Amino acid sequence: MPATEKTWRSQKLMHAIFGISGLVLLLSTYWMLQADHSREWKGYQRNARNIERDLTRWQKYEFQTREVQDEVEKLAEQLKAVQTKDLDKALYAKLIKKIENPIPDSDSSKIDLSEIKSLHDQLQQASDKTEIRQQLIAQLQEIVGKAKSDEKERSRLRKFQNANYDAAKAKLSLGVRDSLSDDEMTALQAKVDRESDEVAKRTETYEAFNTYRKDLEDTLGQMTTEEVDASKALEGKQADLKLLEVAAQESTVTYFESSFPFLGKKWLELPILDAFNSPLTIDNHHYPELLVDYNFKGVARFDRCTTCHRSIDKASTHDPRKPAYLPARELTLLLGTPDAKPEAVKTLREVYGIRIANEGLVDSNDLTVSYVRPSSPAALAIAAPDTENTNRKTGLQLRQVVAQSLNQLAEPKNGLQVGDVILAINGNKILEERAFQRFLMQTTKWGELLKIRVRRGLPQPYTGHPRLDLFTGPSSPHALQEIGCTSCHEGQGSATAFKWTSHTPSNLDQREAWQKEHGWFNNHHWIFPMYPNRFAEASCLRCHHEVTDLQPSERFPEPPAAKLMAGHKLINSYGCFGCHEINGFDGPDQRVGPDLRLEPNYFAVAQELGHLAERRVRDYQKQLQKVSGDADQLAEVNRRLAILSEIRNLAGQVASDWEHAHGARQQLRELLSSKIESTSDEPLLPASDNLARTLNDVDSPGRLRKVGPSLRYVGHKLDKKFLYDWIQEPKHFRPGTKMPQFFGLREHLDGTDLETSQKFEPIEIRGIVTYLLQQTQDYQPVDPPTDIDPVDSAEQLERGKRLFQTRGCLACHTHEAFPAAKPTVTNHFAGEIPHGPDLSALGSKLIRSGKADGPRWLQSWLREPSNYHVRTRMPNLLLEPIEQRDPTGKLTGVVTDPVADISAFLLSFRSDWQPVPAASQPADLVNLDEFVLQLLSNTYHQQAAKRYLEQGIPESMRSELKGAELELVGSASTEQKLLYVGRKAVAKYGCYGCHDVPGFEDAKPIGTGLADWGRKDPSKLDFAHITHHLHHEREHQHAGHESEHSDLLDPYFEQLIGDHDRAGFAMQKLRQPRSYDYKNITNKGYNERLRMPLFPLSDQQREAVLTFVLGLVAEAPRAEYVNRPQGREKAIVEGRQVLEKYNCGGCHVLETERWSLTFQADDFRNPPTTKAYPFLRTRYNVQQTTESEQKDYRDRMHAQVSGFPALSDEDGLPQVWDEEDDPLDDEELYQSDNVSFRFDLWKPALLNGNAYEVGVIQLQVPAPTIEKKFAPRGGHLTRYLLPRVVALEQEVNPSVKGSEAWGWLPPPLVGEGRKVQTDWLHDFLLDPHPIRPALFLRMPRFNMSSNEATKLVNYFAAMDQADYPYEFDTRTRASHLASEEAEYRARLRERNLPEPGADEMARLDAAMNIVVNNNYCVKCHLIGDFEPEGTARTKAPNLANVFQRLRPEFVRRWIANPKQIHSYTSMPVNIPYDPDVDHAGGVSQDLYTGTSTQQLDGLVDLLMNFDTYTENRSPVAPLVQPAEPTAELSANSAAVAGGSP
Amino acid sequence: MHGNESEFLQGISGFLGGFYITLAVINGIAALYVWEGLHKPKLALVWLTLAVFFLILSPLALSGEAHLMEVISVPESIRNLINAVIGIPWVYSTGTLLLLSLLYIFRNFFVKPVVAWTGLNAALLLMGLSITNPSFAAIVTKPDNVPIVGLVFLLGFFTWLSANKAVTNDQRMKQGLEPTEKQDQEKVLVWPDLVYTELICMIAVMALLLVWGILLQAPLEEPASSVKTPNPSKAPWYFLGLQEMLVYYDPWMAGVVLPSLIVFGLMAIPFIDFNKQGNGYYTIEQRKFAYLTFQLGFLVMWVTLIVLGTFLRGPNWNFFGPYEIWDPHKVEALNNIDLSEYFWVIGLHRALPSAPPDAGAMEQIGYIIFRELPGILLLAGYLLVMPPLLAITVFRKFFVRMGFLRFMLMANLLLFMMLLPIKMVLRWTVNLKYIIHIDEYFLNF
Repeated sequence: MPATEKTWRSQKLMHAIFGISGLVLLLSTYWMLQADHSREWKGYQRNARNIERDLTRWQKYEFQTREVQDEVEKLAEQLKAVQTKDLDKALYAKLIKKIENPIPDSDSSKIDLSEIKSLHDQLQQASDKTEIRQQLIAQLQEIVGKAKSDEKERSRLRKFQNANYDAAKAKLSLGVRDSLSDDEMTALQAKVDRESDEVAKRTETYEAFNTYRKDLEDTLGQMTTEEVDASKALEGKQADLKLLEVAAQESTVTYFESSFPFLGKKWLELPILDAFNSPLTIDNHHYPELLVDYNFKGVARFDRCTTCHRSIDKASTHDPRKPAYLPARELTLLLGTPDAKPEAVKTLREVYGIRIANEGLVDSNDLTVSYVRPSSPAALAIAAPDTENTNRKTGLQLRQVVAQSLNQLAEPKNGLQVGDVILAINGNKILEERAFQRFLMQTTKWGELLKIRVRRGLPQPYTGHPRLDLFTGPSSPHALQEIGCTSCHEGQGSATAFKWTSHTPSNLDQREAWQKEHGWFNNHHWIFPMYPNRFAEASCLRCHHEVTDLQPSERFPEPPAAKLMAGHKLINSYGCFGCHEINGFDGPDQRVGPDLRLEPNYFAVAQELGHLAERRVRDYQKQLQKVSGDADQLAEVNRRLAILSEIRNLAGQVASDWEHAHGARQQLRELLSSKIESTSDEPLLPASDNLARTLNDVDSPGRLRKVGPSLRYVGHKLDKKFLYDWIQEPKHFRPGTKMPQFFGLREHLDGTDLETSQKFEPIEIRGIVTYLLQQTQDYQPVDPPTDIDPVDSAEQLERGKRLFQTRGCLACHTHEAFPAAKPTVTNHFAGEIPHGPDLSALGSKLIRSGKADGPRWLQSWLREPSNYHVRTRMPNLLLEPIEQRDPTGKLTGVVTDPVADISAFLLSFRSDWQPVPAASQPADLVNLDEFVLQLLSNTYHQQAAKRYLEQGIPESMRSELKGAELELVGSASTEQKLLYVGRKAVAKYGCYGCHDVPGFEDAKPIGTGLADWGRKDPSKLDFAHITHHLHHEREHQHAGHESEHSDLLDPYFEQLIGDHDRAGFAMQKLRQPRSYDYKNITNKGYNERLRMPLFPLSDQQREAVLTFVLGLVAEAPRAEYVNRPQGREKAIVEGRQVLEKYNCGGCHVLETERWSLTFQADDFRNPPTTKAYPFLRTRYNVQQTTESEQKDYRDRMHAQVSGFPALSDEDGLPQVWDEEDDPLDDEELYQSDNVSFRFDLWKPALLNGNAYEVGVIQLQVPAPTIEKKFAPRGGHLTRYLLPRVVALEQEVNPSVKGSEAWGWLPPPLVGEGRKVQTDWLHDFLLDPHPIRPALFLRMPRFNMSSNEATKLVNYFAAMDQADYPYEFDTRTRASHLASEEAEYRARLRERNLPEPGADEMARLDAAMNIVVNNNYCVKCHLIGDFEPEGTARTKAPNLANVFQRLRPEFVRRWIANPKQIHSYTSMPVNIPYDPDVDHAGGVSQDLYTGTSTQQLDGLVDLLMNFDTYTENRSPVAPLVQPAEPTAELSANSAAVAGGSP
Repeated sequence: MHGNESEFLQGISGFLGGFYITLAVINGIAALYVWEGLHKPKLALVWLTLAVFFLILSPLALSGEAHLMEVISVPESIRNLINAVIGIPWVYSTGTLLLLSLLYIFRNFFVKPVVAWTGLNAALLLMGLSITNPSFAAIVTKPDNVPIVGLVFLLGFFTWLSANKAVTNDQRMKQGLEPTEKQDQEKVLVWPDLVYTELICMIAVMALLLVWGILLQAPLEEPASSVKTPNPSKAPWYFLGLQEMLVYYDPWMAGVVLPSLIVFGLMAIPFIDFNKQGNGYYTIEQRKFAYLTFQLGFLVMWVTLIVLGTFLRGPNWNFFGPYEIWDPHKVEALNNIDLSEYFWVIGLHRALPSAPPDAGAMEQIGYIIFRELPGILLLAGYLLVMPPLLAITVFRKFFVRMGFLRFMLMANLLLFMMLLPIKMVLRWTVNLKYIIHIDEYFLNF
């Protein structure tokens, strides 16, 4: 068919459709571009850029002040002055001469100097010399330039010639290769020589030109040097401004470039165009080593967070550690006004030093401060106190608060700052600048303070990261470029929209706001959602496995992760790891996270074995009597007895100290596993196989001890009623106990579920009690000492009270009699967690009728805790009998037993606590049978179970039974059933996770391991009907129980539960551990119910625990990112773990208090100049000095001082002084801002360029100068006791000084590393002995291993940068002593003094003269057997032991000036130093001939060589009787000599 | 959950309001077309009324208020009824089979545009009324599933279109006229008839893709993990039919043999097909067998399985009604029994035959075969006896025209195809697990 013009469809319609579809495509394309243009990050970037632009613009104001401009002008004038000067004539002449005599053969010779000369002449005469001078210099510079080009040309010629020379040489070499003839070679060599000569010639020429040019240049340089310097100074002054201008220009984007109408970059930001090459771009940070775990592969991390969070690492201009902008918050400042109305013409800037910007940063209407003049009233505005009343305290209260040494970390809010938004003045809202101006300039009451409310900081995402010194800052340990964002915060780092990055709200308000503003939703597909802010610290654990490395340190004094540390501490002290192992190892060497696990249970196994062996021995001994006739049997029984006693022996060794009895443990294990039973069917020890296995070595064993007391001998301590009551509800007896509650948790139960609980729980409790009492093993209490005098009970109580208070008990325990001794809260997340239990009402607990002898137990426990519980952390307080003194300090001969006193004191406290009535009722037998049947049916068929319930399990089945069923073998008495139930319950509830329970030595923890719980898939958590439970709970409370409202679950966590978030699950689990059983257990057995107990934690504590647990992800990044402390750092981290374990800080101060001061130049008195040994002076370099003099924009200097508030002599409380510089009155009320403190420096400090030495002057610190206070580490008991021991001592001796009280209490361990020798400290820690007679208490013996002692020793050395683990004392070298001795003798000879015999140690003898002189050492110090007169407080340590104990350098410094080490010491300077008198001071020459320094060294040498010295004094040889050779001996020697037997 | 529900309604209200307005507009257009183009004022009035009805619904929907939205929702009783009915698994497949049979039988009625338009409106209205249910909305509006919703409507349209044309042709041919396609035998021009149309298509598709890309985010899920599989774990939509087969057959059968047979069968069609009629025009009458086989194989056994897999299979691959919450805790008792057990244990009250412990390999095989004899016989009967039986009964004419080989091939392919619905029904009705169960050699059928 031929083609026609007719088309298939109507073309008109087609055109219409085409038109419409084209339009649709156009619109959708535009929509696409519009969607791209309006992506949210672009807006943020634009805003951030504007903020930066405005800020730089405002910063420029600082350089536009009158002062700065004046300075610039001055410099400019100086430059001008230089420029109008004549040229130096001599130099000019020299230069002209040089130019006139150029190098021959150069083009310079043709230079015409006439013009220059005429210019010079003109210059001489001209009045305005500037221009002519410029011309002249330019001409001269031209000549120098010419010389330069000449030189360059010569250099080129030389280079070419060098090339020729090289070519010739190469040709020669090739000739050798080609074996050319001699002639040819000679020719080539000649060529080389020629070229070489030419090189030399040209080099010479070049050098001549070079020298000439340099000459010219130098001379000209000298002529213009002044000018150059002046212009450099001017430029330097303007350099910062220039930088700012450049920055401002860079952050300004315009459509046209300023100078020419070139297109600016802003065009590229327009819609559509911005799709191509916009200046707004996505920030990509690539971290190829920090992988994201995509299950099958670790994938390099891409973080784009900084696309929106532009200024996250931008530091404040004033302080590089602080971010440019913190999150917005409101604060009130007090602004000082002038005393009188200023003149009308004056501006805000002139009066207050403040300027308001035309536009705000984010919101253009904000009234924003754009400039604050340094030290203007605006810069000096102070933070308004929160309320008036809280600041007023009585003098005594104020001093007590200071004595508590609390952290004071509030951020200083002083001064108005650039960027602050003004909100209100004196409560009136301010909306525009005019109003602001009116308030400040007109309506104010002059001379009074104005209350200004400002908003400081910016909204997200424009803020910086808090603590730039720690995070994101380039010099911080977590630099943005290295660590990135999501490696800590998690979240979807690649996303660029708010809702896709998996931000996680930290509270419900935030959640709602985000939903509204950003369309936030819970994206459960991204498995690493960001940690909400409140859990942000969790991620620290990923790299900080040791956890203690997150404690505040010298570099980061503010706690870097307070909440996390609180969680760690709580988990440690509540013993969560007893059930929930936190295994930090994936294989023996692969560390994946924090490691919190129980130590191997060797000691308990050994104790159990010992117990079993003991019982068997008794059995066999009985048998022995029966089988006495049969020789074979007798031999067998004897053989067994021998093995058993060997087992008993080894078990004893392992039990008492397994950490050091490795060999005994191996032996024991081998003995048990060897086939000793082959000759008989009867097993030697029942169930010993499992126990033997438990003795095996473990790869990377756990390190933690069980937190609860041992229950192995509990029957000797407590009776049935107490145990029942305690187990049922521990806080019934002791409200503050750490023991969790297992029973009576029924708020989620109703109906039959509730009934079942009520029915079976008492059975279980009774079972446990029966089991514990029945299993109680034999235990031998420690006997009281003999020779104790009978005592009066009232006196005993009084003594006991004092001993309890002062002997250190309160370092770990609390007691109602001493409410003030409660540990202060150092970490508000954790609250107060005393190390040991509260000891109030012990009388009610221990004095009970029945078999248990509590009082006897208590005394034995106090005498030797490890006798009862081998692994207890309670130290042995070494409470030895004391001989009493009368009020004058004389011994009375009455000997008392402190243990008896303390225990009498403790037992005298009873509360109105009574055991629950159920405790004394017999078990309900019907319920018991029902319960036992239920338990049995889990293991056996119904029929068998019923049979066993009635008759017991047949004896024949014994061998196949394990665990609790063994209790029912033979018969089924009520007792047996209870034992069965008890054993089942102990296993079910995991009592052995915290306590040592006999029969459960090899049991495994019952809880879920938590090592990777932070990553646990929420779908693996059984939320059951928890939302209904919570709903029900809320309804129930709405129904009328108003008072309990606060007990409800925080709605935030309820929301998390709704989102199926693991944090919500865990929070509710900690709050109501059994609530997941709600409506979920009716059809389950009683034993299938949840069994986690309720821990007595506050909501805040739960959150802290949760923070820790959420951080356990078992996902360590690559090794280089994990914080593996090495060297000293490692020693410190490990040492801190031991310090915490044994609560060393309970008594000892480990680190001093630190105050950050900000002050003006005249705030502190200059230190007095004293004459001190040169080596005592702390040296500072220039940089340190200038830094200390540096002033900030408020015209203030900063410094940090370490030490403690100085104590008053009267009462041992800190000294505080009022405005008139009088000590505070105890009763009167004071404003805490108006006082000043006295501060004892414990470390030298540098303030305002002045060096303040320790012990020289007390720093007078006005309260307003204190910016921050950092609490000391440790010393809680010491600080509590300071005023109290002063009061005690004043009873005896009213003249004692309170300021010396530090010396009577556990010594602060600041500087301990430099002080003591490492091996001495190690031995001392393991076996402490009294050193200071003045101490009220003595160092107890801790239940620690040598390994732990070593860690402590290393810690102290590392803290003080001292040598460890070994150090050598060169003073003990024989050669050192000999040469010093020779020198001393030479001195004697020189002064014609008599010289002692050659075998005498003349120098040390002389030193000994000082020691034994009545005016010096022996006045206070014990030496060997010598003891000085006086009370205990005045006596000082034994000098005979110093050589073992102290480091020589310390001894030297100490003797030189003791106060410079411990400002509180009462030891005087005995060998004074004064360079202006004879012998530079020192003691009498009669005692020791030499200068003060020589005397000092002599004394130190004596003390450090005391052993050598005394050996010399008491030779041993004379004591040995020469022995007659005996006959036998001579016979032997004869035989040897004969060489034959 | 209460707070979430009102939030949900607020969230959906905008879409739903727009949806009803769109429905009103297209019905308005339809009314205009019927009035102007077809000159049927009465019918136009019907569509106009419908448009007004939809227009009334739209503000109710836009309000987002729970009590107003309830008016425009499927009543709870009906929702529960639908859930309960769909919850009976065999209802779905036999139901679709029945529905298609009805559509086929009464095709002359259904192909009328009025009926189709009514049906379309009804379907869209049902969807609108259902979408206020969070569970339904969650499934239907999931970015993954939106194309499947489109697919359902597109397939419905094209099935209707073909049937409409075929019925028209069939009626014409009954009257002795030639099919409509034969009337347009003219050649068409490449430009503008072909290229212009293609250009417009290109533009439209591009616009569609752009809008789609802006409105529906890529349905990315979490990184794959070997320890955690999504629940439900679904294949891509086009494989959901295969996945459904896995419920009834072992992987080697459902994943290897049956798909191979599908491909093989499709390749064999030209050789099997002996019917010369129906080339180049739509017809049902002349190609009943081909039409029915295709509709059964494609619509029932492929598309409906995709719809089933997408919308009705939830966590743990359980069946969920369209308004049911996808709760992973829902448990269904699946007590399936092998045919051999039916025969030996339940039927004959004796233990399954099993080889003595010391039996040799051959003896064991013997016992296994003995044990599975009922199944083997049944299957052999199905595959070997059925074709001749068919050849001499219903397919007598076919056998004559096709010859032995072609017929046997066709019959076996057909029987294999039917194995799936048969097994499905057996599974759902009598809990049959396997017809032949030889675990020892992984040979289950």
